[in-house]
Amino acid sequence: MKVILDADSLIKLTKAKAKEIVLKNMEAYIPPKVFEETVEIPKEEGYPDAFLIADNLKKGLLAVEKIEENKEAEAMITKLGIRGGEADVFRLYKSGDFDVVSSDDGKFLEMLDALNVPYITPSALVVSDRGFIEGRVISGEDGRCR
Amino acid sequence: MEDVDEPTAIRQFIRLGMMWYVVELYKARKMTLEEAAELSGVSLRGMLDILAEHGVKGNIKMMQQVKALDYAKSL
Repeated sequence: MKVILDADSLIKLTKAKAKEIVLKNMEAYIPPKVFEETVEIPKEEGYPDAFLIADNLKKGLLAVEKIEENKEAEAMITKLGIRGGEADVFRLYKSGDFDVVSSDDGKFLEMLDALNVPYITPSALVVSDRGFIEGRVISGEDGRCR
Repeated sequence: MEDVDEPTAIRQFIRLGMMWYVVELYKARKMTLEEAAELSGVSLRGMLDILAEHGVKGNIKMMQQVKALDYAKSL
């Protein structure tokens, strides 16, 4: 599964210490603006989770994906007034072969619904892990992360 | 409050009121996290902390969570 994470989703998964487990089981991408919101700016502000996200990028568990221009996407972004990282998430979804967008922002999810973009929340991402869904026994270490 | 001059207290009062208003708008899904951060003049990461300080962990509707879980089950 190819999932695009917005800043809200990525930060919450990181704070819940569930990010590594979730990222191991899917292809996760962020657009450049989300990288800025979750790594560049928070690093300057001294947030520890920014360093963890940067580490995951280095390990290849997460990738910053470039966005290709899409006039149709731009028109929708302008019409709905989508901003910042959320606009970049939508641009990225429209520019590539992605399955779903992950966000925990109610208004953004309403927008995605209106645009017929499939979405998944961070908590649903955690339970989407096959081990959890199939009721398999998970390791103590993984269990503590959940 | 004895050591705070009136203009400082008024500025602080206005800022606290604005923060409360932004948090309420976010809670009611009238604005996104991006918009809340922009209006508050803080980073997106900082806005998440402000929301947490106000006891707001999220703003998604039950139906949105159900839809997301249905998607997760379909994988």
